[in-house]
Amino acid sequence: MTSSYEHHDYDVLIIGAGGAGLRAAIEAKQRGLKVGIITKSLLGKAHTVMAEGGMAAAMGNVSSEDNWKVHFRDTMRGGKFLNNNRMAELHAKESPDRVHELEQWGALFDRTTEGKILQRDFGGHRYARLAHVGDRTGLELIRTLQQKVVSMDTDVFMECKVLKLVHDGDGRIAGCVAYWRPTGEFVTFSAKAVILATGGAGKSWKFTSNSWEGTGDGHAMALWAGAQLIDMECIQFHPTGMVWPLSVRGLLVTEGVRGDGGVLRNSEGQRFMFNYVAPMFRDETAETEEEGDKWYDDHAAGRRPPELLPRDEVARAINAEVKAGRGSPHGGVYLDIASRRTPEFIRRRLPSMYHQFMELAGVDITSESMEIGPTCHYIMGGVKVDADTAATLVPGLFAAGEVAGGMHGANRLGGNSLSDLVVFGRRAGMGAADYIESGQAATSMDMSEVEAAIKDALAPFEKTEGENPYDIQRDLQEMMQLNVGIIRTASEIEDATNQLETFTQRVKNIAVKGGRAYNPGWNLATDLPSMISVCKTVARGASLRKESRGGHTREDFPKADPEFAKFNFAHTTDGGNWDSGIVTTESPLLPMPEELQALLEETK
Amino acid sequence: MKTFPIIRDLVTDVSFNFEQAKKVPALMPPPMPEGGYIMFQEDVERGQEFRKCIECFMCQDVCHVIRDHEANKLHYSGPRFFIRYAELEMHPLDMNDRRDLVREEMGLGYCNITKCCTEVCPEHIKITDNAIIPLKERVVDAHYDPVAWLGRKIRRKTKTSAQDAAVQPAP
Ligand SMILES: Cc1cc2nc3c(=O)[nH]c(=O)nc-3n(C[C@H](O)[C@H](O)[C@H](O)COP(=O)(O)OP(=O)(O)OC[C@H]3O[C@@H](n4cnc5c(N)ncnc54)[C@H](O)[C@@H]3O)c2cc1C
Ligand code: SF4
Ligand code: SF4
Repeated sequence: MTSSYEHHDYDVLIIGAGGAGLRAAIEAKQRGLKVGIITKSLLGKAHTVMAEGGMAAAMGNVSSEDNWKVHFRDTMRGGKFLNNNRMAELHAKESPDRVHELEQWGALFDRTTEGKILQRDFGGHRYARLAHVGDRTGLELIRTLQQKVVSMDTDVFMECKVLKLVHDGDGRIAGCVAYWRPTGEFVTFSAKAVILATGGAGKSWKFTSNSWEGTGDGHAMALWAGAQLIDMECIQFHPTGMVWPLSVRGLLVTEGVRGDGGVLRNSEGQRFMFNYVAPMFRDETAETEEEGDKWYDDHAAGRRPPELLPRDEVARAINAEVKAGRGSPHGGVYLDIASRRTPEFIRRRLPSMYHQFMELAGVDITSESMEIGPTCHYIMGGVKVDADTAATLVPGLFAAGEVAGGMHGANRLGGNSLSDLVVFGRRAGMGAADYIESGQAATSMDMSEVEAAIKDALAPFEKTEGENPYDIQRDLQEMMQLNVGIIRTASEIEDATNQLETFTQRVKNIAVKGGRAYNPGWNLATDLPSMISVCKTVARGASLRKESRGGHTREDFPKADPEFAKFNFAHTTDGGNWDSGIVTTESPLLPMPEELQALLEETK
Repeated sequence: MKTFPIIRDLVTDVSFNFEQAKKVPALMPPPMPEGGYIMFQEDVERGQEFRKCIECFMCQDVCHVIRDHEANKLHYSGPRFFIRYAELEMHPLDMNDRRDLVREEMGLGYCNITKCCTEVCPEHIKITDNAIIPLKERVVDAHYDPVAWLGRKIRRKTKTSAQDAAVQPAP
């Protein structure tokens, strides 16, 4: 194969340097393989770094009653039973080992008085389960993995953006094509196996906790390469994002605030969450403020306060309060910890939040309430994978972390992502290594695919007049927020579907000026095809799922319908390009073994 | 800001930092006991301060040893990595010994405690007081105190030298 581009060759190529990508790299490296990692930002800056609250693992250090079975049950219930039950099982069983492993690699978690890893309470988890370091757990996770990866002398390509996956002549994944952001030069990578670990897709919504990286590139590349995306309609809106000032609207306020005693109030000062406890959660939720308050000090003295229900429940309740005219001046509600805990406690337990509000909003959270509202946070949907090996339906392609689907079903519990990254990052590394050892891997890239991808990427430079990518991005974000946001309805979804066709045409009409080196307009122009593909699958799933479940709420179908609990909507394309049509099928859920079924029943 | 040349500079600087990161020998803990390690909050807190580092590298950019003498980059790792060494040295489980490395290759001696790094750190890490000064004290002890030196020789049976331990065995 001759190529006029810079070229690199690896056994395992990992796209993404968040928790999932780094953990996969360690595993593949330990199998003696040649490993390359690509990130479009810098090593150590991926989304994972922003995670605050913690990492869920049933170690039972705080509540000795906890074990993997309860964690499994909580995860399935939180996911409204759309989850891949094998993933939920592996995750619950393996996450304690992954936490301990991080400690062996240098992570310093907060401790209990007996010197064990401290665990904190979080929404939807029956017991205190989240290992954490203050409110900067994601930083600890990524730094630990990064240091481990660096000590193993792994190649990391930074500020290098992958555009498209490349097959061999037989439909196996053989590598990818990318460009260097600093220079705009193209580069090709060939590999026996590729692991997608590109994170989420929240950047297509107006109010989002996601950074510029969350454009869903991996979701889209998998789709174009022939893999299936499932559950794309299931999007988590985190109940507590900042709503003010506008410039930081969407920025996350950790759930730890509620875990540590913070409560939600409407403009009348009422703790409204008591009015929104769904029947499924009534048995384990406090009925009065007194009962809920006792729980913080002694979990045996009362049941959990309703502020700690799963995120979708809380987000919907806030939405309803605001709609009913009981919101705060900037369209949110109040999160109050000031009246409930001492300033010293707040500053010690929630240092980042204290600084965030002080510096960005001029609000002292030790004496005032925070104004908060739902913000697009996490996409449960993703690439369909085999639980044990993280293999997708395309030979040679693996996926782990937020880009993979199935683990969280219709709704993710807080803290279950960081553990997901390391459990399935590791399994992706193992899966890729086994695949390579089986001798089935691709040996050459189809260069015509490379050329086609490069041609597409350069198209915006060929026009002198055309659309500005920033306008398209802004309009797309507004449109998705409005039509496929937290509460959906048939007419709006249909409108979104039609508008997405218009957006497709607008993207084809983009004109970019200047050179290729550090050209943010061009960078965005290469993000937009991914964003559009992802939005199309979200809108398609949202229109077909005529019920409400987890991160998908239909105003016109407000109840869950058991018929829809039997399958995931799975999307592919009919041409492998970003503007190809989307084909959707019903993909039956993995049958649940009796032992697991029994767990759900026995601990109801 | 002039665009291209400055950005190029930045890129080279960042790669200097990533090169330095490669030289840090990893943590070397004893085998994990059943149920996990026992460490107390007081023991982990010192290290946790250093692990707050967000790798903005402002301390590296402000340090005159790096800034004024390009040649120093060869044998000076800078404040970001001094806190990393300090964190590992103070880690309750670590069995590695990096003191020779810190003195000989990381150039701790070049630092003359101007505290500029501490002043710019957005995470308010007390780089000089809590990392560099204690590290300097430990290195000096190790080097000149014959008793400590002898002790170290003996302990080397259980402690691998920093060089040997550059790649940590997989647990
Ligand atoms: C503010 C915030 C707080 C959170 N708090 C928690 C929490 O407390 N607990 C929890 O469990 N979860 C939390 N989450 C969720 C969790 O952090 C994410 O789901 C998780 O970090 C995703 O990790 P990842 O490894 O899948 O991908 P990421 O960490 O998002 O990394 C993606 C990587 O892929 C790279 N990439 C993407 N596209 C390309 C491309 N085209 N070419 C090259 N590279 C590319 C990026 O550069 C990056 O390196 C939080 C999320 C946010 C936003
Ligand atoms: S105290 Fe030392 S490391 Fe810090 S800026 Fe001054 S010379 Fe550099
Ligand atoms: S200035 Fe502080 S946060 Fe930034 S790299 Fe240095 S030590 Fe880390």
